[in-house]
Amino acid sequence: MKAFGVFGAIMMSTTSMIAAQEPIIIGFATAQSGWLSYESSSVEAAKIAIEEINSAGGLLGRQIKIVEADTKTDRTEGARAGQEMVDQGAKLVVVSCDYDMGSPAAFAAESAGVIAISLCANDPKMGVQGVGSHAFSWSFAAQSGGYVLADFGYEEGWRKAYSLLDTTIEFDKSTCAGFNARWKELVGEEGFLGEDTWRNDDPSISAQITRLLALPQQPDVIMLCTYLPGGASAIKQLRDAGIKTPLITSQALDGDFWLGSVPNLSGFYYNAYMSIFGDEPSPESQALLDKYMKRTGQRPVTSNFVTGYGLIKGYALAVERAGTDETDAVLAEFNKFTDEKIVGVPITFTPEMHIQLKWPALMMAVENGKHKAIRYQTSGATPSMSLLFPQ
Amino acid sequence: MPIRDLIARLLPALVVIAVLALLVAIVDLSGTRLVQNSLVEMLIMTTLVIGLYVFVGNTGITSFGHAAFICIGAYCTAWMTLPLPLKKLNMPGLPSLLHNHNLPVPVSVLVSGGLTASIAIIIGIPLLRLAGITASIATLAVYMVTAISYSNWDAVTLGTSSIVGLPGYKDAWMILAWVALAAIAARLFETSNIGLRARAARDDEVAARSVGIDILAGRLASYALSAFVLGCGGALYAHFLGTISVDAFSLSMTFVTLAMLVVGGSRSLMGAVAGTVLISLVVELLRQLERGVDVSFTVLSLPPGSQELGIALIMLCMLLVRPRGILPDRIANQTFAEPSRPVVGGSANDIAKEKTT
Amino acid sequence: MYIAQTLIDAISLGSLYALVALGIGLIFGIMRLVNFAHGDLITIGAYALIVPSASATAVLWIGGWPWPLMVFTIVAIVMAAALLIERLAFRPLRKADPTTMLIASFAVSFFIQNAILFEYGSRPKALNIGASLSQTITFGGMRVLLLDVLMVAVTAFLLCAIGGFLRWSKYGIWVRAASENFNMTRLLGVRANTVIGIAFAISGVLAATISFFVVIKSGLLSYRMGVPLVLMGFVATVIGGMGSLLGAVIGGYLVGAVSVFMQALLPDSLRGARDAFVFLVVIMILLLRPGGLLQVSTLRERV
Repeated sequence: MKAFGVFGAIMMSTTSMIAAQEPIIIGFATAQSGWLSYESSSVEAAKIAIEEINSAGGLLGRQIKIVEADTKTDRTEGARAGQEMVDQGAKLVVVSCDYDMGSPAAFAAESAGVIAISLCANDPKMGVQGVGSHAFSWSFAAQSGGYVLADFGYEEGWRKAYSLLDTTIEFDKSTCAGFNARWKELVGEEGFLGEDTWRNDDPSISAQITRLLALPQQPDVIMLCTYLPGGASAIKQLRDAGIKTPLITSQALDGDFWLGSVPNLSGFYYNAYMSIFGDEPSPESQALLDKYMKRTGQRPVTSNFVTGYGLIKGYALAVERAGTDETDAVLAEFNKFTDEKIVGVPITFTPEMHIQLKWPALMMAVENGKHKAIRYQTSGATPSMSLLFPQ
Repeated sequence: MPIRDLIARLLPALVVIAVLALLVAIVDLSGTRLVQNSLVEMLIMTTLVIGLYVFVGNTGITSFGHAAFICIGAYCTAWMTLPLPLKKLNMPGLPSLLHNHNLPVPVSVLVSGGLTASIAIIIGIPLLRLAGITASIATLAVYMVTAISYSNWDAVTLGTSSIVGLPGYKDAWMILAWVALAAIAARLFETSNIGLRARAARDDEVAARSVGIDILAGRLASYALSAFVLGCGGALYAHFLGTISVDAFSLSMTFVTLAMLVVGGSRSLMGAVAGTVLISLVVELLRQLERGVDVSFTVLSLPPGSQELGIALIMLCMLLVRPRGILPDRIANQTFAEPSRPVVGGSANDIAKEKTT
Repeated sequence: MYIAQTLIDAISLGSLYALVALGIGLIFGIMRLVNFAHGDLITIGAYALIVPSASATAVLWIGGWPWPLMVFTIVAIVMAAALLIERLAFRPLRKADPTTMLIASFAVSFFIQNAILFEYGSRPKALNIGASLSQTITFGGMRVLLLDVLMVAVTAFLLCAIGGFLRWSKYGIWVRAASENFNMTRLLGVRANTVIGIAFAISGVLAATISFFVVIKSGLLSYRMGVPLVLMGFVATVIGGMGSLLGAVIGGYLVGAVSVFMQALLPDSLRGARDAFVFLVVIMILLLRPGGLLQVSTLRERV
């Protein structure tokens, strides 16, 4: 038995010596053009991580090689790009930040038995229950994002909330579902004044404003589940109508580039991956921001880039623990991740859950048009399976 | 019916099938998997454009709403083929029969076509009384109602979210068989009595009415067959991608397929297919250029996003140079000029004229 | 009270759709062209306000000029773009099938959208102009945005101005004649290029006007901002009665009102599907009055 073990070890080492010649290939099936092309900042951060690993001697002594394909923010092109990455021998396919746009590429990888990790999809279906057991997302479930926002609102002392839901995309529906459920848990049904809907490209939300102002009780916080451009337009219309109530939204409205449409915005809160405005409380995240700015020569537009870096570091950790880049071994290591601190964020995966449910969000405030980091916020609870996967 | 007549009727379809088969064979022998993927996509687009052609070509009404039929077909096949555990999780609202049983993909594709055609008949009866631009806007309204209903019908469509995990079905020869069926059906229809009458009404509604042609019946038949082919095409598209969501079947898809049809020439089957093949080839070429071409030790590539600009310009140029389609009129019109059967002989125009005089 | 306020909301949204429908209806009346690129003219007008750049933060360019100059320049740019599109894409197709022209307008629209994406990047751009107009005034418990008052006034003014121009000026009479019977008008010696040029110039002015309203209202630019407007504009034009400018305006207000009242009155669970109900109403109107609310007798579909 022992002899066999030694023999096995010799075999292993010879194969790994041969393998040491070959690079580990990571494929990026992400959007370089189309509306999602802003995710290039995450890809950039991922490349920083890869360069760091390569210059420190590589992963398992092997260099990481990058291959890329443009999904053009299009599903068909996405499936094609995913297939292309698989065909070029990628052991990991990094896919788009958006579930709808990322899942075709992830599914191509899944079908070929290759691990796919989304840059930051917030849909828990980017995992076992949707795309399949090889798919992960390096972010948190939108519902748990809603939980964190509800806890934040509660801790700020607000007790009456009203939700304005932009029904255009699933992300917002899930965020509001999470917020509404947690808010009712924290405050009780009477603290939830109701929900109204609109669509992102509606030219006006005056009918929604009219309904809001006609409520028997005015809310002391409004939860806006939306994204740009419609989100900023809604905020402007609310403020123009004289509604000064505090507004909470998700990370979809991170960044100050859109504040031009609502100058001197105040009473606006959202969760971010980190603060890009120089007041980041976590030194690790600040160090990453510095690296990013040194490399690109400019401040990132939003804090989204963080996930790209973490994703590669996490993959490297799993590969090192597995001692190989073979899919099954790496997958098994990923599924054992329990509160692994990667760029300061505790990452947990289980065989059932391939997205984070307890990601600590940095709450940001905007006062007089200026961003300010408040604190890292977590929720006291995690969303149930029936909330994550509505029946 | 003598075989010769049948062949004469089917000739354009046979030409189309032969040319596409040749393409598939070439790619099969030499192409990489990626090129094969593009080819399959092109074949599916061809199915869709043939479906569109059956309505637009035979009635002259521009449809803005056919993405609705593609969507209905795609979701229908998801209901019948998605792996059972996923289906229970994602579509709890389906009847228990569907929760416990799946159909083989080809059967499911046919059923999807059938469902789509039945829906088309129901909405066609009131809507196809409208004419021209009013009918077009009505089809747009049908599209909007369908898309929004499907986006909100969470129990069986997963709302705005994507459904992932449809079984793959993308062998080029298999898809070619579907294209062949669509082409033959389109051709049999347009050379049948009811098809020719629809064309007569398209060319001259007043004359057609005056000889007692039932305009609604012709339109409705075209609409139903068109929806059937589009539904099947939508199902094939769903199996090709493996994932579906309502916003994949957007107005852009409507316009891209419409553009393929018009660039080729919306009045003949060969034109429809020629337009699809040509635009697909141009897209593929630009895609390769954007990815970079090796030119003696350096890689030349277009910046990301230039493919879309290029395709818009090329499409516009084709329309400006040949507004009636890239196929020469002689070929496009000839397909209706085989006077083998007295009743259906001659061009559609001629029938109406003949009977009025 | 709630209903009265909703009515104000409906008028404000309706004015926007009416302006779009006016531009589309004018071109359709003369050329039978469903100009899908009309929405992108609106986008061009909006993007001309800022410095062309892919950077995330928008820097005002023409938008920073004194307002009379700004308004004049934007109107001139959009008008020029409209005329350029007409010259390059539509004039060679004047005898083509309406579907071919529609697809050409779609190609133009696709080109403009992707050119903007290429040059300005994919993120929406924020800017703040006309801040003094985005104030809410209240009277008797009713809220109304200053901008909306201006919008209704401008819609009324433009409708009267264009109506007056078409009725009393020589060129206007040409345009009207052309929209009744284009070939006959040409035979009578009216230059087709002049008539169509005038129509496109007017549609450019209308598009530029909408650019201002949309930008002031939302404070945002995005490369597809014109698309939802142009869709509703089409619908409004058709239910109003193709070829009738007054019909287009009425159609615009009707679509706006249906949309706002659906939002206000639908129960919670159905509100997400609001537009499905709006379009069901549209189908019903089309079935009841296939020729539109104001049917133009000479405009019966050519058979």
